[in-house]
This record gives sequence, structure tokens and C-alpha cells, in this order.
Amino acid sequence: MNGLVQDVRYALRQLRKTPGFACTAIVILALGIGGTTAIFSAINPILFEPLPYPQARRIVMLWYAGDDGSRIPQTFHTFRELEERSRSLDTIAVMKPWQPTLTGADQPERFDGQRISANYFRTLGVSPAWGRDFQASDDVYHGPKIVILSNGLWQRHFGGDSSIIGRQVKLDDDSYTVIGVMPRAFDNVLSPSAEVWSPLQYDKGNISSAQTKEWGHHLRMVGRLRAGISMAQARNDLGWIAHTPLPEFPRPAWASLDRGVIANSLQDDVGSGVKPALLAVLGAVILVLLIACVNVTNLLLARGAQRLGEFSMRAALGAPRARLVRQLLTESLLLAMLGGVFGIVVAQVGIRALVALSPPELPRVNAIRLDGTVFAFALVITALIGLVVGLIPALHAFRSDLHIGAQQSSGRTPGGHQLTRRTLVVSEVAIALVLLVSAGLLLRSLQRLFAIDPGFDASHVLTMQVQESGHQYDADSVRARFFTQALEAVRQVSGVTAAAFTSQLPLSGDFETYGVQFELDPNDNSEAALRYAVSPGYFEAMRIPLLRGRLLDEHDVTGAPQAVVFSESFAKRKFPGQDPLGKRVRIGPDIGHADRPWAAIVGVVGDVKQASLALSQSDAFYTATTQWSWVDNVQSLVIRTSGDAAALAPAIRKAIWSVDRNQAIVRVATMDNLLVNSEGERHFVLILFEAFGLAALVLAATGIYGVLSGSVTERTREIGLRTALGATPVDILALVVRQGMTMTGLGVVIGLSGAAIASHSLITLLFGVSRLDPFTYLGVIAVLGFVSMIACAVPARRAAKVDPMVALRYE
Amino acid sequence: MTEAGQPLIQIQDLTKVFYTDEIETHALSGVHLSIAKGEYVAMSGPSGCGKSTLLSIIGLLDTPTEGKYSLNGKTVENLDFAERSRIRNQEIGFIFQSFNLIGDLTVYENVELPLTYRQRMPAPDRKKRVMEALERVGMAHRVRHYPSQLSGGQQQRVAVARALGGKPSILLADEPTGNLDSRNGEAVMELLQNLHREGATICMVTHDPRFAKHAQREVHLFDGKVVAEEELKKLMADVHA
Repeated sequence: MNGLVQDVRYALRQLRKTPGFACTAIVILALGIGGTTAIFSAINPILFEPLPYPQARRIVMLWYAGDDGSRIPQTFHTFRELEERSRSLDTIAVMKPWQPTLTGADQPERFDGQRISANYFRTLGVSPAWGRDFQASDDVYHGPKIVILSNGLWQRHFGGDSSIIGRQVKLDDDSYTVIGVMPRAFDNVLSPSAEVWSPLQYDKGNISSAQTKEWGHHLRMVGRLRAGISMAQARNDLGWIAHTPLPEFPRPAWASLDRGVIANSLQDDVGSGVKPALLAVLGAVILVLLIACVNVTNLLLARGAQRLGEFSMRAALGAPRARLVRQLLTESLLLAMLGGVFGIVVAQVGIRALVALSPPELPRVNAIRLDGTVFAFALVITALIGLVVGLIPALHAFRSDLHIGAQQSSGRTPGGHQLTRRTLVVSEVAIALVLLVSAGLLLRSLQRLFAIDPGFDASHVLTMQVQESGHQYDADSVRARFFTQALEAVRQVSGVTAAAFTSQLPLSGDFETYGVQFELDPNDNSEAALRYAVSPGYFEAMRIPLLRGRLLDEHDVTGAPQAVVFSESFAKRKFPGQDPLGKRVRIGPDIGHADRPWAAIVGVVGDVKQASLALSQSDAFYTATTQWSWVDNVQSLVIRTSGDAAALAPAIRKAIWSVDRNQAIVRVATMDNLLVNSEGERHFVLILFEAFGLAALVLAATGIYGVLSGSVTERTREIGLRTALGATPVDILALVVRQGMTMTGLGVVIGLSGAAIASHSLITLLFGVSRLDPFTYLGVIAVLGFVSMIACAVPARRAAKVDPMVALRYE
Repeated sequence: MTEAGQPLIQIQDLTKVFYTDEIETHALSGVHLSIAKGEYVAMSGPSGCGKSTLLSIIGLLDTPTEGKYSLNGKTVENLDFAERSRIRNQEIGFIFQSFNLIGDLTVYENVELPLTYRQRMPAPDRKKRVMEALERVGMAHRVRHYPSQLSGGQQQRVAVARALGGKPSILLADEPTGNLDSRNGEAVMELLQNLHREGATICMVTHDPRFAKHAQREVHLFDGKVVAEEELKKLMADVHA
């Protein structure tokens, strides 16, 4: 014990004696440990940690299986059938998003919430902290208007008032009774931003009528397996139900369950979308940590070489080699511990940055924090790093001939460690190349994506969503009047050159399709396309080009012949080689209703990217807001401006509130931002890879510099001798640069194969660029080569300036 | 090559002053020295008399503060670094006290090293020169050995071969026996003697009078000045008194 204390005390003294070395090593380790810990804190709750529910492994997501195997939301009546018939599920629930607006306060405020079936919380295994849960009797058609609040909303809006239960709150102009408050720790992974819940209250009796919301595919379904039931058994059970329909549960064609039900654990479902990206990021940060370790090992090796005399002396005084090794390991562990302490600080900053940068697709963002598990992880990697970075220098000291410290003259340079250090630098360069190639491939992918024409001009366009609420807007005509008046007010704002409303906004996350029935083939009801109910001027505001016919205008109003504009792809696919103008269709709720008039295609416009720049789903139709079956109460406003679009937001808000100050305005963003955010996941991964690649590049360059610098110092006499023998400064420069570039070259060769293998893990994130894209690889090699040259330059210049007298001064 | 009668090395009124902080140290003062082609000169004197400094200036490793220095009839005291490197490489062969072989290079590579700094010297020519030099010093059988595998005497022979490989105008030897035992020291001195007999010009720094006697001429230095042998003895006696 005494020996250990002595070792620690001596290690501390050693670090104090060489503050430059200590600071460099601690900073490198802190960055490595901190970065890895931060990324682990983001990945752990999504991929590794069980979800924060009792027996979370039993919670499953149940999707309707699409023809192509895709996961499609369920219908309400499918939910009812599964709830009644399933023997493998303990409870089952459905949910849909709900964005009620709280009125009666100073400013209207819209919340994210969920409409849920009665068993939702029981399925998750949670219950309100105060008040009660929803009961089956609450979840009935025209049932009581009741809500459960999140702890955050309760604290923020109601000051944590303990008498909240039973109080009335006004949502969308309706009074709701608060019946419960969820616990503070409740983590709603299925809708993290939801703060208010209300029963779904769909009509169970409305099963025979197909054109109802109860038969719409818009509900997400979650279930809890019975105790002892495996996932395979549940799948068998659900498959059997799907393939044995009963007369009491009639199914329309689009909800026939002929492809069965897709059942996945909630844990897998939550993480599945982002898993490849997160694993790639985890791999990347581990590589950065590896480079950091290699760098510090190199520093320790260099220091070990300088301390050879000290070790010789200790050995001469009778220190056993094991004791010397223990001393070195103590020093490296101490360094790692200090790096770990600062690493926790770096991790904290990194976690904040991760949360701020996280794309909307990233689940469980609220769970990204420095908790016990993350702290334990940091502790473990710190200890491991301490051992790993100390082991090589310690083994070197163990293997070294300690008499060498006294030897000089023409003995071979005491450079076994130089070979190790060079090998380590080669590995650093190789790892840096892997990271830089990955970052380069992602960058090229994003460049390719952003080079894609979205189908509209995103510059100088401000967007926002306006949500009507209140019973005064129950009638379509009143609703339409509000939007018309709001639009007129917006158009009066100085700097606005065009403005219009649309039911869904491209690249905003909106995705709404409706069926289309063609007069030429009225029995085919399988066609669906994106539906845009737009006000006149929408195409002009978005600058979506008109290709044929005409745009929708002020004449397309209720009572006038219904006009429809098709997207180019849709028109070409449905009317190949024909003129689509004048062709007639029934759209949305009018399908199958012979009494409803046909709508005529009056124009064809360019395709627009709706879901993502990478996806080319372009079948779309546009109809005038006033000619659709209803007036949407939530519409997006697009405003083209002459100057800075974002700067006009306050004036636009004011203009809308001049019509009715009780209407919520949310999702305010420029179209440029939406464009960038639409590739949020790729952008997020790119930012991380760029940061890691840059760190790797700097560390690799530092490694090259360190090794060359150490080598030049150790070889001062040799360099002086070479100069004395006639080597010119250029010869000496070439000698050192050749040494550095040889390490880089070897690293590049090894790194190339590593990059080719590693790029497999990025395939899902790449777009329009091969994982072996030669341009990227060559570019990265050029960057690495350039940076390596810079890293070589300083020691090379120092070497070239070695006074040849040095060679004689040793005499 | 020098013209007949013209000295290979001509030094006139050479001074060297080292400045450390505010202290001026006159290492050499008004040194005049002339070494003819084929001559074997020993420079001796007490420690700190300036003999190694003078050798460094002769070897173009250092520059004089004042004075003139011509090598092979060419003024060299104000040449730039690259030109001095070239002249060192082609005209001067160094032999150091501690051999200064590069430990990571083999005997062959060590001898070849100065030749690699010569532009456009084909590899076969280099090989021929290296083997000739090694044969002259009797080390041709050790080409693949590393310096650490040789005795001190053998290492110094290799160092002599390295100095000879470039066929220099002059060999500069700084205490070439300083790190050797007497037997090996004698052997190296004999080697230098033989080289001189074959026509080499040698300038050797030594503090050992036994080895200085091997030279044709002795140059005595005291306090940075060239002095006659008698005067040196007197000065030394004064110092000891």
C-alpha cells in the first residue's frame, strides 16, 4: 500500500514536472473519453438500455403489413378486432397525434398531445402520479371531455397546483376536465413531445360504413404480451387472426390484413430507423478514442525514452523491473483518471450539443443525459485507457536494456521505441483516413441531395402553420373566411411579394395522401396521391412551374366546376402519351359516390419533393381549398419575401393575429431551413463525422509531428554529422519529410482497405455516391498528404537548421 | 586541384570570437596558417587553445569572425550554407574522435553516405569508391556489419574509409585516437601515415605529443594564437608556475 501511495505521489510529481506533456495528454484523453461518453449517452437509451417501463421487453408495436412489406398505421376497427380476438396480448392500445390549442390565456398556445385508447398507459405499464387513468367508459363515442397532463405542463402552466384534478382547461374552445397528471419520470417514447392526453373516442358502431375515419390507416398500435408469451407465439397468434376473418369483424379491401400484422418489440421499433446511423457514429467515436489512446501512448513512449537514464538508475539501485512497470502504469492510470475527469466535462458539453443538433427522427432525446450508467461507462473506459496507454511504454521499459542509458557513441540509436511509435502513427493515419473518407462520403451524399431540385424555389420563403380552434370556426365557410382574411392581411405586410395557404407543406414532415379514382377506370380504387388543398397563388409563391394548362385561381371556388392540377409524374404515369388536360377524376371522400361530380384536370405542374429529397414519390394532385370536401383547420402559410424571410416572422404573426388573436401559429421556419432539416439525420451524422474526422486529422498530424520531432531531437547528432559530411539543408529536409511521408503513405495504404470495409456501415446514409467513390478517396488522401506535409515541415525545418558543429560538440 | 606551389589551405589573420551574453571570448586571434598539398600537419596545444575551433573553420563547419580563408585557391569564408555543404562533401574528409558512425546504417552504408549527397553519381561508381575505401582501411570484409558489432579501432577505420570515399583534397582528423586504447590508437596513426605516404593531405588535431610526432609539421596553438614550439613550452611553464 505504501508503495502504491509512493507511486501515485511520484506520478503526480512527474506530471507537475512536465506540465506541457501532462496538459497535452490530459486534453487528448479528455476529448477522447468525453466524445465517446457523450455518444454513448445518446446511443445507450435507444439501442441498449431497456425502455423505462416495467417489463419493457413485453411491449410490442403492431403495424399493418403493406403490399411491399412496409409498416402502415392501423385502422380503429382493426384495433378492435385484435383487441377482441388476440390471446397473446395482455393489453392493446392505439394512438394518434393531437395538437390542441390552449385558449383563454394571454396568447394561444398549441401543445403536442395524443388521442389514445383507454389502455394506452396500462399497455406501457405506467399510471398517473395524481388522479386516475382513462377507463373504458371514458373512451366512447361522444364520451366525456377529459385530459391527463404531463408533469412538465402541469408545473409550467399550472404552477404544480395540487388542486388541478377536476379543474377545467379550455382546449380548442372546449372545456376539458383534468383527471390526472403523469409522473415526472414518465418518458413517452412513442410521442416524446406529447404533454396532454385525451381519449380517442372513436365510434365502435360505425363499422359497416367504409368511408369513415374509423377505417382510416392513421393509428399507431402498441400491445403488451401476456406473461410467458414469446414474440414468435404472438406473431403466430396475430397471423392466425389476420388469415381467419370473422363475419362480426368485416374488413374493407384496404384493411383486409391479407399480409398480416408486423409485430416488433417497442425497443427495436423505436431504434430501428436510426440504428444504422447511431452504430456508424459509435464506430466513428471509438476510432477517435483509439487515435487519442495511440497519441497518448506515443507521448508516453517518447517520455519513456527520455527517462531511460532514470530507469537505469532505479534499476542500478535495485528496483525490480516489475516495480518499474507498476510505476509507469500508475502514471498512465493517473493521466487517464485526470483525462476522465475532464472528459466528463467534455461529455456534458457534448451531450448538450448532441441534443441541440439532434434530428427530429432521433428518439428518446430526453433520455440523453449523464446518468449513472453513462458515468460507469466513462469510468470503465478511463480505467481501460489507463491500462492500454500505459502497457506499451511499460512493456518497452521492461524489455529495454537499461544499460543503454549510459551508452552513446556509434551504438544503434536507442530506437526500438521509435519503431513502435512510427507503427502507432501509421495506425493513427490509417484510422484518420477511415474517418475522413466516411465524412467525405457523407458530405458528398449531402451535396448530391442538396443539388436535387426540390421542385420549388426555397429561397426567400417563410413558412408557418396556422391552426384554427374554437367553435366559432365549426362551419367551413367561417373557417375559409378566416384563412382568406389572414392571407389578405399577410399580403399587406411590407416585403411580402406572394403568399398562400396549403394543406401540407413540402419537406416539413407533413405526409397526407388520398385516393384518386379515374373516370377511364372507375373500378380501380387503388390509386393514392399526395393531396394539396391550396389557396390561389400557391404555385406562384412556391415557384412551382406550370407545365401544361393553367394554375388554380380565384375562379375555382365552391359551386364552380371542380378543377384539379396534377403533378407531372402522376400525369405521365396515368396518361402515357395522352393529353391529361380535361381528363376527369374523383378525389378523396368523393370516391365511390356516383352522385359527386367528376373533377377535371386543368393543369400539370412540376414534381415536388414532399417527404425527403432522397425520395421520389411524386404522385400528387392539387385542389383549391374551397373545392375540397372540407376546409382544413390546420394550414401552412408560405410567404415569398423580397428580403430576409426570417425577419418578417413577427410582422406576419401580427398580421394573422389582427384577424383573430386566439389562433395558434407554430412551426415558423424558412423554407431553406426546412430543406436542410429534411435531411436532418444525414446532416446530424455528417456533423459528427466531420468533427470526428477533424479530430482524427489533428491527432494524426500531432502524432506525425510528435514522432518526427522526437526523432529529430534524438538524431540531432546524426543530422549534424550528415551536414558535416556534406548534406545540404534540402537533403536534411528531404530526409525528415521522407520519414514522415513514409508513415503517412503506409497509413494511407492500410487505411484505404479499412475505409472500404467501414463504408459498408454507411450505405443506408449514402445518396448518389458509391461507397468506393474515387473522388472522395483521392480528396481525402490529398488532404491527409497536405496536413502530413505541414506536420513534417516544422521538425524538418528544425533538422535542416541543425548546426553541423553539433556533431563535433559531442567530441 | 591546386596549382603547383600554391598552398591547399591559406589562412590569413583569422579571428573567431564567441559572444555569450555580454562576454566576448576570443577563440582565435590573428591566426596565419598555410597547408600545402600532400602535407601532414598536426595541430596541438592545451585544452581550450582553439585547435578544434580552427579545425571546424578549416572544415567549413564554422565561419571566422574576421580574416581570409582560401581552400584550393578559392575564397571560402563567405560562402552560403549550401555551397559550403558542397565543398565539405567534395573537398574535405572528416575523422572524428568518437567515430560518429550512424548506428542504424551498415558499414557499407556509412561509407556510402557522403557519396549519396553528390548529385548524379551513379550507384556503380559509388559502390566502387566505397569498396576501394574499405579495402584501403582493411574493412572490406565487414560491409554488412553495424557499427555496434565492431571494436572501437574497427569503427575508426570505417570512419577513415568514409572520409576517404569522397576522394577529398584534405583529411581533417580531430583527436582520432582519443577514444581508442593505445594499440588501436597506434594502428589508426599508422593508417593515417600510410595514407599520407600515398599522397593524402592531412590536418590532425591532437593533444598527444606521441601522435603529433607522426606528422611532418606541428602547429602549436596557445590562447587562440599560433606559436612556435619553444614559445609554447615557455608559455606552458609560465602557466604551471
